Amino acid sequence: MLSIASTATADSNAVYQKMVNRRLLYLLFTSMALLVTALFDLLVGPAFLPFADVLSVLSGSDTTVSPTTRIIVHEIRLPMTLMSIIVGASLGIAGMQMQTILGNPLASPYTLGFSAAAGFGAATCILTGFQFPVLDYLTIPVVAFVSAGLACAMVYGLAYIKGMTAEVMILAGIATLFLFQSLQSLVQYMAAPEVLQEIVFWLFGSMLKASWFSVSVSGAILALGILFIVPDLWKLTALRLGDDRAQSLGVNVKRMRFKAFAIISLLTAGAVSFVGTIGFVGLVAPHMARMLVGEDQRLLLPVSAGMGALVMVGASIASKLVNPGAVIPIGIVTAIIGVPFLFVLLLKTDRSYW
Amino acid sequence: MLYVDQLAVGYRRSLIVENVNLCLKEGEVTALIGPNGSGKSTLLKGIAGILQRQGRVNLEVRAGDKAVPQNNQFTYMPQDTHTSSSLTVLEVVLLGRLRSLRLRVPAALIDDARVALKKFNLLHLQSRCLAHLSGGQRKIVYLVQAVFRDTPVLLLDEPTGALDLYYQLAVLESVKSHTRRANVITLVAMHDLSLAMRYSDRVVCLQDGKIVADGLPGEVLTQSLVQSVYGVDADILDTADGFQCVVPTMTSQDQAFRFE
Repeated sequence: MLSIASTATADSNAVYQKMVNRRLLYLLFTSMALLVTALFDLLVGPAFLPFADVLSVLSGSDTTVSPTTRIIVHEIRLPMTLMSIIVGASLGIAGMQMQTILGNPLASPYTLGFSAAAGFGAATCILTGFQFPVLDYLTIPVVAFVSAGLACAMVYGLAYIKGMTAEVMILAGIATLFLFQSLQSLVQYMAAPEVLQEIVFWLFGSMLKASWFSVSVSGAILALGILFIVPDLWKLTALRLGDDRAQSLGVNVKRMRFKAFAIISLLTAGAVSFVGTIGFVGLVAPHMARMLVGEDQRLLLPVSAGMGALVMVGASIASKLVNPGAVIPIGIVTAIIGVPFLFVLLLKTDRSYW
Repeated sequence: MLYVDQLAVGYRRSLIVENVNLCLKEGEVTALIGPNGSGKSTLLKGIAGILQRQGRVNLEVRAGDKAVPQNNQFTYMPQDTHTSSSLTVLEVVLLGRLRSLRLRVPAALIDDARVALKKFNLLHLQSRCLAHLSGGQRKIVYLVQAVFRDTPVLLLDEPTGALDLYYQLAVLESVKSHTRRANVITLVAMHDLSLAMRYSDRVVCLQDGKIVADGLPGEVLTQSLVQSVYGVDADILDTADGFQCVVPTMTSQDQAFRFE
């Protein structure tokens, strides 16, 4: 009788556990690297602070640290560093989700126009001088948030009519990117030189806009996003096998795409509306994570978040070191920091990861 | 029993399959045959609920058996094996039990997956990336996943495509023995009529989206059906091991096969 039964006796349980443990180790490394770079980010700036002073302020134990140092750490650097972590993690997760639900390695919140839409909203506010009658400092973030949501709704609406296929979503997303980039250019063209400077500064993306308020709001959105994603991690993993196969395994692909899309728009809008347009991170952080831990979304989620945060904090350090005494907008240096990192991982990884 | 009543399936406004009535029994392998484009895959997807359908698909459980939730009744295995996924073979098989997977995968589930892989001689590939396997190997991995999913109805779309002769036979042997052992309802779309005769308990023939024949393999697969459905003259021959096979015949140069 024909048979494909085997006599192999390898202990697959141990093999699987070993694989999971190795991936957990990568997660640990990512977390530790993030911790170290975040601490370093707190030290560097126009004034280089001693490590011991920063630790004392963070722990709140030592009263010998000068009030100026306390204020610098508490009110300026800590919000900036935390915001870098939150924005990086949000964009890393959003990019990971987007690449997964669209089955496309080039998808990211930036390449599908969400960040450009946020930028357009902010630029329009700056151009027109529009401000809310109350809580005016929230005008630009809120308008940017709404614009990003509008871009998501456009992409989603078109895709919904055409059956929620990945191809339509990508095409609609790229068209949205071009639309909002054109609108941004139009706003910039119409702006007076001093207004243009302000718009360009916003569009570059800068952590100087970070505050405890933005940290709280973006942090809460990130936590909420993660909370909604976690129950679907295995379903997202199944989606990597293709729509038909995922559906056959019990995944409601359309509903999954809708839910993920809503979370992505929330995370992206939450990330970029306070600090400005940040590209690249959402595209490469998931790839870096995938190279390390594969496509099991239980680990891909935290490692994508960690990698996004790592690139952002690295970029934050670089933005302060490139021109001592000044802080270059972080959006300019994310790619400069991230590309070498990505290339090293690409060269070191001997297996395909997408 | 699986009752398919007046089923119509299609894409957007065009119906591909119409007026399909079937009654499939537990423990039986039914071969779904028909020319390319006759609607075999569409029918399988319609039954699985992957495509919008009209009509009724009803799985009737025997008295005393627990009712199976709608989304755990069917497993559809697509014919396409192309993937860019870097998931490992073991992870792909584990996904078969998506409904049981939690943040921490139970050790018993991994053990079950190991047993399933071992049955199909794939244990040595468990840590390999799916995208690095050959098309044939991927096909078997997906078959293991389908069997591991453990649903009462198995819908397989050309499970022997891209497989060498040995694995074609071995896969269908495994499908048949699983169908008997687990007492599941198996519907297999296939092109090889000889394999359909050898491994199925029943053959359903589709042409232009409609069932044109339904019955025992020996009754359905006749010279006249092969000629009328495929446009090919063929002999139905007895094999030495007691089966029958379909052998195309070419009596003159005029019958040379060409695209017309």
